[in-house]
Amino acid sequence: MDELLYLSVFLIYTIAILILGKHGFDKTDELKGYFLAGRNLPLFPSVASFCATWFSAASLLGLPGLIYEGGVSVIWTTAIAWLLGIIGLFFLASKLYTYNVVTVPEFFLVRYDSKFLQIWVGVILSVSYLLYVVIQIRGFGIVVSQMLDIPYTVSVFLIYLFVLYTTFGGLHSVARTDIFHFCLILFGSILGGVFIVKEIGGIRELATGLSTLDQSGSASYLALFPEGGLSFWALVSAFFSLGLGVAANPQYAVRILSSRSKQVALKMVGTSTVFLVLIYFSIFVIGIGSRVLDPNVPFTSTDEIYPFIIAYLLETPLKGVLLISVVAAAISTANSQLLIMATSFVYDITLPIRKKKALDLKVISWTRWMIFIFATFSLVIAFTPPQGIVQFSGHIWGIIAVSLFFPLYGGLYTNVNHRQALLSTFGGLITYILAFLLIPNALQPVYHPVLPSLIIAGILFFLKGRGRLNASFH
Amino acid sequence: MRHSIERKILVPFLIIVLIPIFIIGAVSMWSSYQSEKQLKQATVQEHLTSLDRYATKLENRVNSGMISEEEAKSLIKMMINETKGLYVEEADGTLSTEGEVVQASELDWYNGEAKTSIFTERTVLTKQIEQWGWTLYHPMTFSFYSGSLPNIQKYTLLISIFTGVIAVQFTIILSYHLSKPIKNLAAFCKKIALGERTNGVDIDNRKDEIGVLSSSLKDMVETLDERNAQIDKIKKLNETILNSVHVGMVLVIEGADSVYNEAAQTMMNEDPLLKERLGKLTIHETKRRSEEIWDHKRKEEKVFYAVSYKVLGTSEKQRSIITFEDITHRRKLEQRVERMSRLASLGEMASGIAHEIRNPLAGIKTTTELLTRRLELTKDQLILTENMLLDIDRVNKIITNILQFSRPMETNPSLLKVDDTLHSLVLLMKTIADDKKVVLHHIENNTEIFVDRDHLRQILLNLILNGMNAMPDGGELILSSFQRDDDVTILISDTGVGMEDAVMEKIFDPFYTTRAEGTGLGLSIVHQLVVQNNGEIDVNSIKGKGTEFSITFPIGREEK
Repeated sequence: MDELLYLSVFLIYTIAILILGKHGFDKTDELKGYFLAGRNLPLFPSVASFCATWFSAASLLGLPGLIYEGGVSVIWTTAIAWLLGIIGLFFLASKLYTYNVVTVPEFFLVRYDSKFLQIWVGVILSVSYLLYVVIQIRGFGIVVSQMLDIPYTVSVFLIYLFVLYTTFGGLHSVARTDIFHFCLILFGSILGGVFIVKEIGGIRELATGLSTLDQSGSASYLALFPEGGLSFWALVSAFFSLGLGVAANPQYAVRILSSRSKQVALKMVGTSTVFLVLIYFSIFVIGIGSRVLDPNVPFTSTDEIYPFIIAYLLETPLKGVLLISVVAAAISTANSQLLIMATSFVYDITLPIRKKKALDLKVISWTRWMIFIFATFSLVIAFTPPQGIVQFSGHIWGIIAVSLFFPLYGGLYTNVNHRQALLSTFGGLITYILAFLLIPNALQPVYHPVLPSLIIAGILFFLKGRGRLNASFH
Repeated sequence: MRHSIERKILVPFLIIVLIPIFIIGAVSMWSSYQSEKQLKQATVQEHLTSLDRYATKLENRVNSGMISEEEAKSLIKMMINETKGLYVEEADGTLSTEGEVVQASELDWYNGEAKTSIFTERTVLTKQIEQWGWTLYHPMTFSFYSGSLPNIQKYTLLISIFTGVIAVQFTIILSYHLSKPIKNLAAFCKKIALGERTNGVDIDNRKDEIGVLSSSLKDMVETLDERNAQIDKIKKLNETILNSVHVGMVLVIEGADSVYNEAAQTMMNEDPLLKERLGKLTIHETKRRSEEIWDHKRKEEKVFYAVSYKVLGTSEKQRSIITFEDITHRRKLEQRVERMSRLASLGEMASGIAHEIRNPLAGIKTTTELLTRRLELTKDQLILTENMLLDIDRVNKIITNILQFSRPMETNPSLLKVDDTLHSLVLLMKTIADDKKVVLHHIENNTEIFVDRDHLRQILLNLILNGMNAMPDGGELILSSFQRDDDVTILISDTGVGMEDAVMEKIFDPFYTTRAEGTGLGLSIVHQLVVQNNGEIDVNSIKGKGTEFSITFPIGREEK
């Protein structure tokens, strides 16, 4: 019975995406239209697109699993670290919007007058987003194979089709489908929390269940801070890698650029914060509720916990919506990243190297081909994916944080020149790789490679000549 | 666009693609449903048959006395009870299943109430165990969404969705890809239709038919643009030429407003009568004429226009072009030249005659005086001879005048103030003017001219006298002057009787006079003197209102 239900929900979802995704095809005659939806998105689509992009498979699938396993204190190194990044986005929105650029790497060309920096940022984005898209595809694969009881390979191929289709229409298509995805994520996560609490038997039962959990050995489960206190360095690591990773992440910068006006961009960040907190709270309830509902869920990866709870422990016809919300999170993040990846490759790497001006229609056509190639490549990698979603995404955020944070924010708020920006991004990345290799894996959650590399990147950015601090803020 | 080409490609293709997928999916579902149904029915039937066979065997044993009938029945009962959903109705009508007795009224299938709906199908398999009068019932329900069917058919459905998604996506992308260049082309054509500039608009560089169409269209538009530019250039040049000429041109079009060039508009604005005459012209009228000269009065001055007509017979609509030129100035020059030559020949003739008359007249005079002295005449005769001498003197005076008029006079020009001369003349003529009740006005303008002083005095004196004579009942005589460019014009205007146009043409002719006592030489001499001092003389007159003479002289010595 359940599979028939899932199939129906999935079919409805498919039809909706096909219809919504079609919209963007007609509006893609010029680069700004394709890459930035003509820089004309009103508030609601901007908020929806921002939130839908924000919640990836890692948040909606990995986070309930982590809370289930690790307890309440997990939020410090995940949700709160991510949310802190929003503060950065406020600063970004107020300055970045005034730049007339089509992509984020182009900002580096305009600000630093350095084609090399543009190409370099394009390379970083292409590579890191490729890995991240793999994670999204994997998240989708897990959920859909669980939902429909079909092989992982088949379900991964399905997301490939969806992502490819929604990205082909450019940011218009992405934003349009993102509105639908945002609604699914919002209702999915709230309904998930509600259903789990209902399944337990109400809030009182949940509280009782939690106190029982506390007494039955796992004493630290409910504690806001883990046993023995939260390590300062673990907190700083999470903030540096996730928070600054979010703040410097071009997929949010693109949402700022695509807004109708600077005010809309600022309002978008503010309104989105409210929705993000709401959804994180729901995820938090899902995580601890699941633990109360069944403390002995069999799993090999924390990512499998939430789908298991939905599939086997909830009895409601709406559970199809819960699972499809995870699908929505994965696709909405994957398509915007795929778009950035392809535009970075074509607009910021190929065109500057080619040096010849190309027609807009040609560039869009090349971008579509790159979307196809990158998506296919991600699909192939996703067949044998890397383990542990959040840990893996931590490195991507970390890489983006060390290589982009200072050049981006420093570029907006200081008068530092391109040489220091280049030194900072290269120095940061090299230090990151060295730290990753040198710091033992077990210590990395506390002493994340982002710690030393971000400091090095910062020093290289502001230091000039014989160790004098040269930058002045403006 | 509702009827866009994309939709026209998309919808039929979607139907073509999706219908087979749905049909295959549905047929596959149906066939597995049917096979499952048959399989289940066959299994149950087999079970019922085996029970019947077993009952027959037990019956044989009962008959051979190996077991009692009760034992046989209980053995069968046990087997029946183990089978879920199997009902047995015994000979006495007792209905039981799985060892429990049930009421027949509770079973809808038994009462024939069980109905087959679209999604569920119900049937009851029965078997008689005749030897005991038992009936076995096995009600069965089949549906699409229950039992193992969804599990069996999951992949069929999934593959249907899967291929459906791929097919739809490909169809959408394909229809987009096919229609996009056509849409671009349509947008391009629309721009051309709206007259927007198409330079720099990019349309695809495709190699297929659409590409050929695009590039041909682009070439066509470029050629058109070039031609348009050339035509514009020529048009502008023509307009410039048309508007630069001093000849007025009017294009009269049948059934439409006439078109005028700039010169025509200027002339029409200055001359309302001309405007009226031109406005009355129709195509029909222009056909009958070719060339003519129009003359009428413009602000009390006679003006002349040379008008020519030309019918343009090229287009369906009849058009004709009228050109007209203000020839007033030319006409005046011609008149002046004509007058001067006429006066010159008249003068020559008159001086010849005068010369011939003068010598015999001198003889007559001398002889008459001699005779008067030698002959002793009576008082009456003396009066007659004095009269003769007076008439001879008068003839002599006329002859002197004629000779003076015809002989080129020596001029001695000098720079003099017009106002001084006018002032002295006004003083001189004051007494005569008062007698004739004429008021003399001198408007001072402080102008200077380069002429012979005596000649100027004679000219002005003649004209003043002429003006006074034209006012028998008194009036005003105004003397003024003005300077325009390098010329000074002196105006002598009276409020006298005025002249008709026919008179005005002759006033400078010698011996032409309207007064009985006049010689008709005064204005001829004035004309002669003005011409000899490099001047021009003109006259305007309105019958009953007055006459105005204007004489124009150059101001500077170099003009000489």
